[in-house]
Amino acid sequence: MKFFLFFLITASMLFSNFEYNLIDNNSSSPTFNQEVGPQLLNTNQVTVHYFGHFN
Amino acid sequence: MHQDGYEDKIKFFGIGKTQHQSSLSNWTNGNNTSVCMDISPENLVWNDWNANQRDLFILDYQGNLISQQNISSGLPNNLQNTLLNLIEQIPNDQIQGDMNSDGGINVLDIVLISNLIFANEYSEIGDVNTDGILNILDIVILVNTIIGD
Repeated sequence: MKFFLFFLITASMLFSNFEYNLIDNNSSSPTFNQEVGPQLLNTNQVTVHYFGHFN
Repeated sequence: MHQDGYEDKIKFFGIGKTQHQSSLSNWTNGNNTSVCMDISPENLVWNDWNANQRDLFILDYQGNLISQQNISSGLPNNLQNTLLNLIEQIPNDQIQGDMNSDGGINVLDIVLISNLIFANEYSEIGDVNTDGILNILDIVILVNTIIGD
């Protein structure tokens, strides 16, 4: 049972889509006020996403 | 990494929550990184990504998750190497022979390759026949390409 749960959680993580559509709120950013997300990039780029509380 | 000329190979995003938007300027002052706010209280993106406060996600150029790491105690020591390795995996879509990266092959590219040959220098993009040597054969191929066009 534990193995099954481990497999299920691992599989769900592996096959989940790491995407989002959020508005860029940085007025200094070239994409200010536009929707951004890793899947919206036109070019092949490595992406780094930091989640935090603005502190 | 931006100073090293990788700014077009890597993109940084910050994702906060609207419930903390009064502190947004802490992330936006003095930089041009994309900073977003997930809509609270749902915080759907945070939930979709299974993210926690101060989690750092790295995706490769195809959008595959490479790592999810909490960096409350500091940045991982291998972060730069990880990113450099991922950048190296990005396919080079520059046209072989397109020395000035203008998207086409023309006489300007031949001039640039000629200059390198005279200077006894090498360019992987200019080495059209990929024989490891930059020489007249590469120019002949490019001329034929231009004439053929």
